[in-house]
Amino acid sequence: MIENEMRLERQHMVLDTFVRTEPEQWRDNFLSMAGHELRTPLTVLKLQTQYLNKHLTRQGLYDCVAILAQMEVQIQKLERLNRDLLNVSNMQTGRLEYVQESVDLNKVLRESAEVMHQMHSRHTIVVRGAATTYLIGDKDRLGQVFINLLSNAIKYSPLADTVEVDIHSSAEAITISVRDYGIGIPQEQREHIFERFYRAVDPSTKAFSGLGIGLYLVAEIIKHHGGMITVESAMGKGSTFHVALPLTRQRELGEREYPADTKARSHTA
Amino acid sequence: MNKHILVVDDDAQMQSMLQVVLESEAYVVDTASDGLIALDKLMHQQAMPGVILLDMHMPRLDGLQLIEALRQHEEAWLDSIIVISEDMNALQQASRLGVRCCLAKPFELETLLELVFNCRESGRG
Repeated sequence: MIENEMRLERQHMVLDTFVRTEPEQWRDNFLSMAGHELRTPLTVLKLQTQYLNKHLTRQGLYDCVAILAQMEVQIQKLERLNRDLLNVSNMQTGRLEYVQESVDLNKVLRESAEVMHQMHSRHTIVVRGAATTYLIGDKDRLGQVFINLLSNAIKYSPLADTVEVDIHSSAEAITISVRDYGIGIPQEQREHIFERFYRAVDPSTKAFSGLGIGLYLVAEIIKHHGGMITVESAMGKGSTFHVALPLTRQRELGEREYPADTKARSHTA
Repeated sequence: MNKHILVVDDDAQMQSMLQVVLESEAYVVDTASDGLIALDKLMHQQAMPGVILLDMHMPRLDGLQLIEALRQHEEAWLDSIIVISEDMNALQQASRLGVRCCLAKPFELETLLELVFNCRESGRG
């Protein structure tokens, strides 16, 4: 098994409260401004493509509809990037809102895998196992976690064709692992990859584009849910991100149980 | 039934696209590129439009100021206003003032059409 061939090195990450330096504050303000400015052009693009899609479908011009569908996928990518940028900026000021609801993580995971597969059809995303219980948390934010982990797994494994995801639950926690067979993360960089704006790959090489916010966002969302993320990696073999989300958080905090359709909003501390 | 819609937005592309998608659904669309033009049109019109799609950040008279002006004139008009904005604070403020509903950018075409339809169905139009 490939699992046995990999010399896996485990590193636990401790996520500290972030103190902003002046350049970081400037960068956050810029992200917030840019994020808001992008929303109107994004809305116009969405309206244009969806309007065309509707009318070309009515006219039976399916070749054009297929190209439009590809445009819509690209717009969805921009939308997600835009949302991540604004989320990062809001996290810094404690303005990111979280919903509390009963979440079926199996469903969220499969939907995320489906979305990523539509965008990157060359990779097969294999989902194994299932959680046997609901989790109290924010469904959309947890979806963001899966999308970002899957997106990274695909991006950093350009020569592979499979990403493996395992989901299991115990009495205490739901655990999810996302494994890729990609380039791996150097040992000395592993403790930094969850930091804001940190890029494990030298940006000047331009081989892998990115802003260094995806894993930061992932780690912060998991932290908000009382969970933990760790990474194992072997250079040239691939990386596995392990997420553990506790099930006891709700009881520990003395919160009442929320039915699936009830939502309560909370802000980050 | 009132098929008239007033689109108030200073972004020419946004205004034009909203007009195109609404006209394709057989609505009659008028436009205004800021709150002052919109207010002038509303005050001199024989009948109120069934729906007002209102942007928040505009020169001269912005969305919140227009809502305030309309509220002072005739509070029931606020029930025809759908606010569209990328600014969550502005959306919350508009919601507190009592507009019909708020739509955060970016949104889906079908969501917009559904809101406009429902607003007209249950409105005074």
